Amino acid sequence: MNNNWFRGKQNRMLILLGFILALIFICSIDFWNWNSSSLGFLGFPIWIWYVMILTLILSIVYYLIIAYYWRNNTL
Amino acid sequence: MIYVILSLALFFSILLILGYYAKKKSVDTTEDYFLAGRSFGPVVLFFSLVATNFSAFTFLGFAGKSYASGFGQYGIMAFGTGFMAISFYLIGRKVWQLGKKNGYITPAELVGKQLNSKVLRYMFMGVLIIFTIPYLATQAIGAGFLIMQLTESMISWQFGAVATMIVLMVYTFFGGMRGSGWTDVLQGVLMITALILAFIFVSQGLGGIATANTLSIEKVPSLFSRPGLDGYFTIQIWFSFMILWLFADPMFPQLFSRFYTAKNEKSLKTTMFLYPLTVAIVFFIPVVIGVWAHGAGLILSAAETDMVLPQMVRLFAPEGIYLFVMIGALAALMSTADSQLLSLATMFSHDLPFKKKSNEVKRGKIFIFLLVIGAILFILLGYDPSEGIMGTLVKSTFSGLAVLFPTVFAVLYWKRTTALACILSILVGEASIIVFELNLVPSFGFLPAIWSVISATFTLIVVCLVQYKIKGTNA
Repeated sequence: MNNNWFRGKQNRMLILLGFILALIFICSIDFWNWNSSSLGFLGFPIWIWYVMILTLILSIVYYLIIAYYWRNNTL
Repeated sequence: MIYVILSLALFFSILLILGYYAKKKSVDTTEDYFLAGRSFGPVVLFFSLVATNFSAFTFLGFAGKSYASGFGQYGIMAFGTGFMAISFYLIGRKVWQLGKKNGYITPAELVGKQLNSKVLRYMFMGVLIIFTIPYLATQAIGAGFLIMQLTESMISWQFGAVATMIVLMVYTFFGGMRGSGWTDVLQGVLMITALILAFIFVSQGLGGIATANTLSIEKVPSLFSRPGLDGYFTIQIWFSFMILWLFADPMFPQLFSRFYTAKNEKSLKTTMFLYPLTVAIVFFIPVVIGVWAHGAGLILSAAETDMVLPQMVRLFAPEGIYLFVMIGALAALMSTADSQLLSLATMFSHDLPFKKKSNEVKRGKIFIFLLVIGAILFILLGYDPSEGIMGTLVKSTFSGLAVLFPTVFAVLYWKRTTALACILSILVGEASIIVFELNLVPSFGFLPAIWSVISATFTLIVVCLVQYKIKGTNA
């Protein structure tokens, strides 16, 4: 029972992380920012900061995948 | 000028010494020579993947493209490459596990042996080789031009290219994968340090970051928005590049082979976590400098844009920093070229059906030598790899390799995958590249590679299902 509960929890975590990853990818196609050149911090376009933050969020999601889903030698 | 020559000599000497020490550390087995005995820890694997993936295109090409088009270059490269790092989990983890379990050395060996098909193995190897050899030749010529620029034409580009090829041949020849990995660490550190120094001096020279941006937006406002100065960054192109690297990058044989070299899964995990962090910062610098060149009043023709970063550094930094940045660019180029050279030699030596299996290391070394001689002959005979069939192959490298992604993914994850389906998937995918490149079918503004991956995936799934159905009917 414990094993099933653990596998179920792992699968739920995978679905959640997969969903977050897909959401981040969709957010990267920021068509609403097209033709915008509004400037933000240090005079860079705001959408550049947006892309950089999305890229940094990827690292956090990868960390969660590594910490909670990636089990060694699952082959 | 003497400092330039001495610095180049010092850089080359350190690479050769690392290659020599790698040889001393190695034993003469196939696994040790071609895969460093599957021993790369997190630090070496991370820098090795970074230095191998970040070529002269990253260092010089990004700045050139942002000079021509604007800040959009950052988005397609930084997020796209960061997103690609999920392949270290999806592809790298399984490749590492299967490689360790079954002793696989090359990408084609894994694909062919998992489905028990020699035809698939040779076809997969053929595609990898066809799209990697021209790329290697362009790296050699790029190195030549960098050295010519650095020495103010005192050294011809041909001599510079030949000298670079000989140096990287020697340390790869002796050190194998271990030599390539160790030099990658040095080259990766040099490359990143050079970019940071370039950023500091150029921004200071322009009166600070905010002033540099103001100068550029006043001159060319379209650099700060999409679709950019030349209208390149449409939504379709943006989408295409965001997803392209995920399909193409892990299929480069020099990157795929790196998955085998990990000491354990921790090495892969660390690399995957650090990759988006690194690209978010490192890719920012060349793109910003390319845009700032407009504010600095630098006027370059289309053929000169790739030298925008060195020119900006030359304008705003002391001579020593300029020299360091140029060596950083050379390091970026060499780290990619040595990995390509080794992966090609590994495939020739291990995948081709030679009778004697015991001489693989010796044979690999002969192939390293022959490939470099071939590249040198191309250079000396004045062959231009950016033109003709080779030029087309270079331009379509990413598409050509991305077509292999569905096959690799299916081999790793789908039990119903068959060799026939993979072979047809690759054939249809590669054929579709020609169809789209010749504009026989509209691509609706997307990169042809996206349609080619879709065609290859569709073919693979349909053939597998049909074969499964036929098998079920006959049973």
